[in-house]
Amino acid sequence: MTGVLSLLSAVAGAIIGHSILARLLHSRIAAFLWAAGVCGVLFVFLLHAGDTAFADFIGWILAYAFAMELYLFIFTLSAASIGSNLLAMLDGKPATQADIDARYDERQMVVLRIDRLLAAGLIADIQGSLVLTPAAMAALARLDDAADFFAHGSRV
Amino acid sequence: MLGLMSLHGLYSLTFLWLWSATEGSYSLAILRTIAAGQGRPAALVETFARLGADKRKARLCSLQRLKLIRRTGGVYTLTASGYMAAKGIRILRRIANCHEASG
Repeated sequence: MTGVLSLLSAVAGAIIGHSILARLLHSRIAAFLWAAGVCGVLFVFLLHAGDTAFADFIGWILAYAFAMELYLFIFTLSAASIGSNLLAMLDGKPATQADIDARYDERQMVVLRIDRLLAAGLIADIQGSLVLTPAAMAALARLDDAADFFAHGSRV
Repeated sequence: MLGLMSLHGLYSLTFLWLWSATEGSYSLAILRTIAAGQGRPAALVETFARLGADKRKARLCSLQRLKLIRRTGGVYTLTASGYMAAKGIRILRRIANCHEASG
């Protein structure tokens, strides 16, 4: 019971912490990592203080890790996916195809993505032409290996 | 038992994440295009704006297939389950301080 309460408290603490830090820090992911990290450490202390058996101790830590990964997955999906944007747009006000087309400026979306890649240091603007940085080349190589593993044939 | 179930959940989510990232990520597609030597910003915007419009049409079809939205007389509206999903998305966005639609 102590484990369940500790887990629920840690998860709730991480979500509340994320909500607060997301308003203070520039990056929402960094806010999440800080909140989940600090609450994770506190969770370990709580389990340790509760004199939890080693196997249970590992089990609760894995449960916390899973809860945090699930939260991160759901919140990034809700923040960035096209489907969730469409659902949020239709919430409360029906829309025609023309309304949806007018709302989404595709060019602006691409410019936003390019700006994010520049800010993340994955691409660089050299004399008006974009090139990959070494970090992006390494990341792309790893993702291509993963794509081969998943047998995704078509690459843009 | 809890640990094993959590481990399975972690593995499945990571697998799903990697699979979707390598299969359909927009930013990844932009990186691959730049890697192929097509790094002119104007050309990239043109190419990916078209791709984005196609993706949005595909998502509208998916949402209809999942019965989250319906189209009646040319107007899209949320179904009951779509309404619940939209509320959940709003709550998550409020928690994470996401005001703008970002992609």
